[in-house]
Amino acid sequence: MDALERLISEFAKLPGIGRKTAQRLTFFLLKEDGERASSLAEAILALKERIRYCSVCFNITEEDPCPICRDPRRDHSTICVVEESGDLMVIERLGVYKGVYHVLGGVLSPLDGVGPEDLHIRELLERLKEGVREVILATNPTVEGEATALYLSRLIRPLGIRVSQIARGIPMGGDIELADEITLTRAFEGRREVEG
Amino acid sequence: MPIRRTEGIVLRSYPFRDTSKIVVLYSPKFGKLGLLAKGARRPKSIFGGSLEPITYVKVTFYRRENRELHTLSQAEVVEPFREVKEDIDLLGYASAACELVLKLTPPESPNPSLFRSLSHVLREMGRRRKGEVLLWWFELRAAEALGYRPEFGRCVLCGGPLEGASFGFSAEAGGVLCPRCASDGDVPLSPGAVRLLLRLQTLPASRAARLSISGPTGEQARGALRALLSYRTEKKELRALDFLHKVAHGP
Repeated sequence: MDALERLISEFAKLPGIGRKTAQRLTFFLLKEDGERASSLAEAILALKERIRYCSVCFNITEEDPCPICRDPRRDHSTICVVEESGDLMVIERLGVYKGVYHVLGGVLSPLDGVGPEDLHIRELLERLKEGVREVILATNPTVEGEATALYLSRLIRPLGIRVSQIARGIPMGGDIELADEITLTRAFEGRREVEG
Repeated sequence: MPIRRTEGIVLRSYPFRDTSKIVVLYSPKFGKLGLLAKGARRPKSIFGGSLEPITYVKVTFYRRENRELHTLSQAEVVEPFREVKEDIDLLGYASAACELVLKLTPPESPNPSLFRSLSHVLREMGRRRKGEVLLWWFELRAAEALGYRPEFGRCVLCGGPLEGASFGFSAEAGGVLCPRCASDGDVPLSPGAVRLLLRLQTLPASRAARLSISGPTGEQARGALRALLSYRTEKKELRALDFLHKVAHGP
């Protein structure tokens, strides 16, 4: 296989990229100077060489433990449980949460045969022995995400640790008139007292 | 593209590109349908939670002839089967029922009887809080709806009455075998296990939910149904049953 065809075929293996897009990306790189291609190649190699999983929270990191787990200013008695590192990044961008995280690496999924042993649940339970007071479940509001939250809640509550879940319901800027039955029911169940 | 309306049960849904979802719906009118729900993963999507698996919905979609994927326009929840989704074991068994339909039905081949049994089993699982026995009931109803109802009333090979202390079950032969016709490779069945399977085959789901499936009788019936399923799915195990096994063993 020649160099051109090899790169097209490698790009086409990436999610969301078909052969036409792969071809366009390849010809784009061909027209660019060598520096851009080297920079891209180096970035890909660095990703694989330097990025690893934090041995405490399973976030992706260049240093183990990750900067969040090493930070003494963070509240280590509160753990926010997320499905993937991408979710953690979004929450971190908000800057409102000062606790630490635990990345499950997926969700319980009957149709994919993903059970508790396939996620970082055992490691989470181990962490709970170290003075944790609250676990915030921030799984997605999907059937699988809810099942995972339910499963974790049943494991954690008997340990005397507070278990909370991020709110479900109508999104900000949304419209009640357009909300579906499932979302609206959850919104009513999750209602809270208005302060002021 | 003609616009079509139907009701159906979401068998599964998965992310597609950045913000969309592909939904596999089982409908009485069109059978197993692939639907593209554009923007369904956005927080303010009009689809909300309606496209989650194990949800009974009414949908409007644009049908594209000779295509496997049609474009979903609207979805409205008819029945969320909430009780099923709030119990991890029931969720596993309900998912197994959906997985059976996913694996055993060809695309866009309507089977209203199978649809009725699926909606019925999901409803009864939530109402009666029974998972495994109702999944067995559904397996037998699905077999009947798909044209391979196993015979439990008489020997499937010689047609003779079932007399004796032990019988065999052969998925390939399509039912129970009398002591004379049974061979070593068959699943052993006691008269009690045959009676249990026969009752599961004939009783409505509400009454089947009350049947006891514990002990050796249940174990034998489980073996026969496992053999039937394995034969019909070409030895592809149901992932949802694997999930239930993993949940039972914990993290």
